[in-house]
Amino acid sequence: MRIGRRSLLRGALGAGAAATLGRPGPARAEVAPADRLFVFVTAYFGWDPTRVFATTFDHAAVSMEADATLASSGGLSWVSHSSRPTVDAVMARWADRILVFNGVLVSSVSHTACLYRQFTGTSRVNRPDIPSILAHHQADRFVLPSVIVRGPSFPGPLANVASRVGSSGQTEALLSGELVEWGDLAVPRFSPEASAAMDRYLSEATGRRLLEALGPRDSRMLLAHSSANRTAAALEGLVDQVDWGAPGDRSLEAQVDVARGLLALGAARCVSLLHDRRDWDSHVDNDRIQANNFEELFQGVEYLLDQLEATPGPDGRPLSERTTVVVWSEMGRAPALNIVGGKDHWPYTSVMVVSDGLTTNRVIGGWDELYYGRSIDLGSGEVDDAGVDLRPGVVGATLLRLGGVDPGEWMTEDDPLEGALI
Amino acid sequence: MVLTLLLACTPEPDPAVILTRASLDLRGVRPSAEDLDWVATDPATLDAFLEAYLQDSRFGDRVASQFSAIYQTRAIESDHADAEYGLEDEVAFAAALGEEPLRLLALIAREDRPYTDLVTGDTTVINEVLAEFYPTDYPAGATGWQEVHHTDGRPVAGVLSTSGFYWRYQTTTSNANRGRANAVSRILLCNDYLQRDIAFDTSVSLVDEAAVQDAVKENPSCAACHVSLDPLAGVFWGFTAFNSWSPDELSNYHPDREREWESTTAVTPAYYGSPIRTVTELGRAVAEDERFVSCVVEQAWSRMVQREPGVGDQDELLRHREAFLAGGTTLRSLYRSILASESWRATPAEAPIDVPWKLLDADQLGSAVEALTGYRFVVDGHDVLATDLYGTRSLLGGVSVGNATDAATVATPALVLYQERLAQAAGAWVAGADAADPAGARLLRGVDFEATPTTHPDQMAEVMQGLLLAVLSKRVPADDPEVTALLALWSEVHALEGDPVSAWAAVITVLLRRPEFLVY
Repeated sequence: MRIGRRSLLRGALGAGAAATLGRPGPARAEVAPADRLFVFVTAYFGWDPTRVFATTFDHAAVSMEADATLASSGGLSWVSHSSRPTVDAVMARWADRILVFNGVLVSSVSHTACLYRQFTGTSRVNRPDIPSILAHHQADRFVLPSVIVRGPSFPGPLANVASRVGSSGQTEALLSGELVEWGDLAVPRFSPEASAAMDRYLSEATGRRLLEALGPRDSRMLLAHSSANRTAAALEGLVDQVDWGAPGDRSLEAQVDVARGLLALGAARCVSLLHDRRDWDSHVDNDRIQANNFEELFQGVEYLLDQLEATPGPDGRPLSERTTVVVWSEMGRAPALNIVGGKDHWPYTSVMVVSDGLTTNRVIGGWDELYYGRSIDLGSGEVDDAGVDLRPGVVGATLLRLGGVDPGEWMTEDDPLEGALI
Repeated sequence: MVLTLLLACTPEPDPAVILTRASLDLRGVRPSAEDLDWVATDPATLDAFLEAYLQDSRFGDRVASQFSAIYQTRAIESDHADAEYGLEDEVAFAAALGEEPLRLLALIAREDRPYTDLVTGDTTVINEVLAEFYPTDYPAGATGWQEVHHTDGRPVAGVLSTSGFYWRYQTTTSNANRGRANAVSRILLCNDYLQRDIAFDTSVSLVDEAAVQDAVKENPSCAACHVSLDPLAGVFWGFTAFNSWSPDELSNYHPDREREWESTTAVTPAYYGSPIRTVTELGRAVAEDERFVSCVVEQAWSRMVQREPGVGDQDELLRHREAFLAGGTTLRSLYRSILASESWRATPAEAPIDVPWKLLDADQLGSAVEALTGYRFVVDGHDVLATDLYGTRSLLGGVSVGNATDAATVATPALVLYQERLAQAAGAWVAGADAADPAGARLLRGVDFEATPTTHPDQMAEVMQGLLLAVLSKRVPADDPEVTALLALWSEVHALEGDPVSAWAAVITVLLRRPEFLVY
C-alpha cells in the first residue's frame, strides 16, 4: 500500500478525533490525569515575584512598591497595584483555580542554567523537560504531542515528540509552501499532483532504505526522519485550521491563538508559549519594567484563560475543563533595588498554576526575612523548617503526577508535592 | 522484526562514507562525483583527499560554524540594533555583530596561525557594516570581511579585544563583568562557573552590600566561585558600556573606566592568583594556561563526533592534544589528528546506537544545497540561514540565546519541512537554470532534455546514477531499484506537467529531501 504524507495526516487526525469523540469526558474536576492538557507560559529573563506573588510587605529586607497593597481571595493572596489592573482581575476571577508556589529554589543565577533547571527539574545534562515527558506519555494520542510556539524547550532524548512552530508567520509560510515564494530567486511551484507523486516516492524510498540499513543506529536515523516527516505532514494538514499569527507578531495573544487552535483540534497535549520581553531582566528601572511586563503578561494569560473557556475541545466541552496552565519565570529578582533602580538576579522564583486537580486557591511555600525561600512539608504543602527545599524538581514531579505520569520514572532527585494534589 | 534483522548487519567501513563525512565537516559540501569515483577506484587515495579537504579555503568557515554554538555570539538579537542607531539595514547589522569573534577564529584556522593568536593577536576581522561603527583601519570603500587593527588604543588580545564579543556579553554595574569573565572561562578554558549548583548560605543577607562583599571573599559557598571569577572580571571594565543603547559606548574602548573595579567589587584584577591589569595580559595568561589547549581539543573533538567526551575518551583526547602541540597549535593539526581517529571514522554500524548520526546544521544545509544547485534562500538580500532575525535557525533546531535550545541531534518536524521547501526551491531553480544554460549546467550536465525513459532508457538511467552519486554520495548500478524509482517518478511528473524541466526538478527535489541528505 502506498502511503503519502497527506494520507498519513488524515489517518492520524482521524484516529485522534475518533478516540476523543467516542468517549465523553468526565465532569469538571474529574478529568483523568492522562486526559489532561498543559499550556506553559514562560516569562524568560527573570520576573520580580514581589510585584505579584511575594506578599512580603513586612520583610524589612525587601523593596516593595510604596503604593502596593495586599489583596486576597479566599486562601489566595497577591500584591495589588494600580498599574496592574489585569493582575487583580485574573487573580480574583480565577482564584479558585490558582495555586502559587513561592520560594522555588533554582540554585543558580544564570538565566540559561535556571531555565534548564526549571524546565527539566534538574541540573543534570540531557534530561527531557516536563512538557516533553508529559507529551511522551500520551504521544500515540496526539499528532503533535508537544508544540513549542515560542520560547525554550529541552526535549533531550524525547526530541521526537517536540515540534517548534513559531508564531510570526514563518510557520504558515513554511507549512503552505509560500516560504519558497519569499526568496529573491523566483522558482515555480509543483502542482499538488506532482507533490503527491514525490511524497509517494519518498515514502517508498525510505522503506527500501530501511531494509538496507547498516545497523540499528542507521535504522534509528531513518525512523526518526520518517517520524518527523509524518509530524510535518500533520502540521501541513493544520495550515488552514489554526491561526498561525501575522508576520512579526510576537505577542502572547498571537501565540495563544496558535495554542487554542492546536488544543481544540486535539492535535497537541502540551503547548509552550513565551512572553517575549527581554527587559524582564530589569537590572535597571525595575519597578517600571516589572509593572509593565506583569500587566502585559497577565493580559496574555487572561486572554488564554478566556479562550480556553470559550473554546470547545474535540469532545465538545470547554478546553478549560482539562487544561492546566503553568506560568513561570526561571529566576526571581533580588529583594532590594540596586544603585540604578534595578534588581539583580535571585535564585528563588515563583510559579503560578491555573488548574483543576490541585489544592488551588492557595499559596504554597514562602519567604524568610532575608527573602530566601522557605522549606516545605511535601505531605501537606505547608511551610516547615524541617521540610525540603521547594525546588523545580518538586514542581515538575507534581505536574507529572497531575498529568498521570509516574515522576519516579524521570525525576530521581525530587518527589511530588502530595499536599498539592487532590 | 526489521530492526532485529538489521542488527545482524555489520559491513566494512566505506571510504565513500568517510569521504562524505570529511567533506561536510571540513568544507560544508558533499564530495564531488569525481572525488567519489577516485576513492572508489583506489581507496588508498582517501587520506590524500582528506588532506586536500583540510586545506580547503572553506575550512576556516567550518571551524567558525562548529564553534558558533560554543561562542553563542551569533544570537545577538534585534533589540540591540534599534532604529536609533540609524541603520540602513538592521538585519545585516545584527548578522554581522556576532560574526566578528567567529571570523577571527576562522582566519586563524584558515591561515594556520597558532591558536594562541586567538587571545594574543593584535587584529580583528570586520565587514563594511561594522566598519561604520567600529574604530578600526578598515580600508575606505572596501567591502567584505577584512582583517583590521583597532585604532582606539584598546589593549589588544585577539578575540578578547573584539567589540562583538562584549556587545554580545554585556554587563551591569552590579554584575561587574562577572558574566563576561564566565564567558571567557567557559569558551576558552571549558570552565563554566554557571553549571555549578550553588549552595546558598541563607545566613548571609544578600541585601547587605557589605555582607555580600565579605561573603564572596570569605564564605566558602560563595568564595568557591567568586575567589577566581571576580579577579578575572576586573580586567573588562574598559570595555564596559554605561549606556547599552549607544553604539558609540558599545563600540569604543574606555580607558578611563579600567579601574572601575576599585569602586565596585574592590577586587584587584588577577588570573587565578597572578595579578593582571589589561585584557592583553589576560590573553597571555590564557595562552599559557594548560586548559586553553585541552579545552579546544575537547571542543573540536566533540563538534566533529557530535557528542560530549566521556571518561573512556580521555586517552584519545590526550593523543589529539599532543598532535595539536606538535603541529604548532594550528587547528589543522588538531583536525588532522581527529580525522585519523576511530571515533570520527566509526561507521554507522560500529557506533553505539545512542550516538546519533551527524545532522547537517543550518550552515551546512545552506552550503551543501548551494554547492549542488546554485540556490541559496535569500530574502530581500539577506541569507535566511545566516541570521537569527528570521528565527529560521532556531526553527531548524539550532542554538539561540533567546530560546536557549539544545542543538537538535535528530531530524525535527520543522527541519524536515524546511528541507522540503528548500529542496523544492533548489530543485526547481537548478533544473530551470541547467535547461536554460546546458553549457554551464551544475547538476544536469550533458542531459538531453528531449530524452525520456522510453526513448533513451540507458542515457536516462545514467543521469539518475549520476544524481544519486552527486546528491547522496551513493553509487548504484543502472538496474538498481533506486534508478528505477527515479525514472518512474520522472515519467509520472512528466505526464502530469507535460514538461521535462519539471520532471527533472522533481527528481532533484526528492533527492534533496531524502533522509540521507540531512545526515552524514
